[in-house]
Amino acid sequence: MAFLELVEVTKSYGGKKSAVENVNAAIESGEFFVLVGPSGCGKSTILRLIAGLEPLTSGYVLIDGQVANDWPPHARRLSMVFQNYALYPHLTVEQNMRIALQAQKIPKEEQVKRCMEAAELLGLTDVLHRKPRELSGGQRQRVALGRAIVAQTPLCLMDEPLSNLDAKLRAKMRSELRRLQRQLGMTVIYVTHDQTEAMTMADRMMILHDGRPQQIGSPLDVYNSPDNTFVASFIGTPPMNLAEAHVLDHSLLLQNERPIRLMRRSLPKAERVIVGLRPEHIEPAELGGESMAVKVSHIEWLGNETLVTFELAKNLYWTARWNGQWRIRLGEVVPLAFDEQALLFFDERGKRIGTPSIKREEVRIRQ
Amino acid sequence: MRTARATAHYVLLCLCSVVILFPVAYALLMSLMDGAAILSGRLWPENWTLVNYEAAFQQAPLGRYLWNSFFVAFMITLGRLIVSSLAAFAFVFLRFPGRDRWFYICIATMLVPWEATVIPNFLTIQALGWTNRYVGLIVPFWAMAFGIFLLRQQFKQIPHELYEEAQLSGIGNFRFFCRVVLPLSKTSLVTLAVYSFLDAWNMYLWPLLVTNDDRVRTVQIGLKQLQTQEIASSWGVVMAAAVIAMLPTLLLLFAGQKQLRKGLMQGAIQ
Repeated sequence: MAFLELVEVTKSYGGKKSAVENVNAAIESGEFFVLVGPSGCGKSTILRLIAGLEPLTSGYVLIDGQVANDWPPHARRLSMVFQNYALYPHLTVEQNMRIALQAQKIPKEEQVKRCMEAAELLGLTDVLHRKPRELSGGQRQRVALGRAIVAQTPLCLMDEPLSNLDAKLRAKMRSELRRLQRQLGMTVIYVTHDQTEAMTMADRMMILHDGRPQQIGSPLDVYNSPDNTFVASFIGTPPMNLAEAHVLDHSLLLQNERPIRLMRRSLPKAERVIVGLRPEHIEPAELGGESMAVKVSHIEWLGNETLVTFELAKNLYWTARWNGQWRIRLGEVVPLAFDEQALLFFDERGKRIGTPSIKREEVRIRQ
Repeated sequence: MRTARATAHYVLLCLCSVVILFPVAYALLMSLMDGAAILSGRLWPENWTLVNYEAAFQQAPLGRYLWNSFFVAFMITLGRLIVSSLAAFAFVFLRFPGRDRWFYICIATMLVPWEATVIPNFLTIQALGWTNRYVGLIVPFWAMAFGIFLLRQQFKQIPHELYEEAQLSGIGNFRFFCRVVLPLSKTSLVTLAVYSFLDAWNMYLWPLLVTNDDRVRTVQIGLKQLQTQEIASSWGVVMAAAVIAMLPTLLLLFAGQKQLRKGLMQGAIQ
């Protein structure tokens, strides 16, 4: 049985459009589940609905198989790490971690014990008597985490906890957070707008757009087999290359201009499609043969790889990702080859053509 | 040019302060003169004397009045802090239907001058049998729209996530109020306290209406009585009493000036 279930969860604020619509998910105990999407897509709202900070418009939130819609926040036995950490500015680190335990009438020795353990785990032992404003951003982040740990709740909600840290620290905290979560066996629901965070941390993730869930799956499944063009372009940097195309007999005509001959791939039945191709599936080729000559319009050298942007048709720019360092000049014409098997097809409304390789979660309601 | 202008400003400021401070300074000087010197219209005492102070305490139960004033002002201040902070907490953190509308109605009462409500208030106090009692002097002043407004503006600056965090971790409303909201709002609370204390200390009309007994009368009424007791007022004694009545006000002002200004500004800018 899933630990937390969302069934047809919908939230609207009186306006015509719902902030969150028809969200279904089943989150297993010990799972690291990421909600990811651009800002304003409703991911934080979902978190607040789970926490009970906002009432649902319709649908159910089930905790341990019981409908928890009307439970007050503290009865849901969860902790939350806020984006701005929500530390009490006038209390020391230790008091910040203990104030909730005091409210729950937990014996003092137990409070101190938990607090010390968490401080040890997070490397906060030396700053226990400091106030939040005397700490660095990373330390504050740890205190917020510490507060969630001492609460010993089975479920922890995290609302963009790393977005106030600088890039280097963020990368470090990503792995640290995951390590801690595994060590403590916590179930985490993690909200982020950063697809890299989602890809690197999630056991499974839900991609949201405009309050509607787009796809649920493990990072690699989502990456390899996006359900629609939104997911395809949102997940992965640089994003998947997309282009409108006419389907001809044995080739595609991109934007009425650039034909691509396909030798080993059957084409969808539709007349017009959107084709998608990841940058790593575009390779440098020898002149002649099946290669295609394109004009390079932008190059980024990242050291271990090179991102080459070229104009495929008028105002249609695609990017290729090549390993190693390539000496290419702007405006140079280079031959390319596509990996035909990696081409994905979407219909004109952006939905994937053909059965997606992973099935949507089946969510059952128990009342 | 700039120096000349600054000098002009300072000269003007000095003149103004002389005009404003003259009555206070003269009262202090008069309280230290003997009767003959006052009647001869001197500005500076020839023989410094404290007789007037002795007389003030002998002619009227000044000590009793001072205590009454202090007690009443203290209780009004305390009550106002409690009522205003609880009301402001509800207006900021609790969700109830029509919350903001109620707040604006509450604020709108600031438009009604207090004097306009004197008669209904008096009738209420009389019906409750609270005349000539401390309770009648204190309770009517506990609810105060300005105090609620001031503290609401302060509480609104507390990040809402703190309240949500408290809700999630099982910290109840009252505990959150005591452990988080009040400590974070010290400046505004001190401002309101100083303001309320001065307000209550200088109250005249209301104590005059609801008391006629020396045991509960406040010092401001006492001063007036001292002045009218004798046909030919002994001004030295009256001034001595006035100086004594003024002292707590001044002390409080000097002590709390910085906090007071900070707090009032905060409310104004929001």
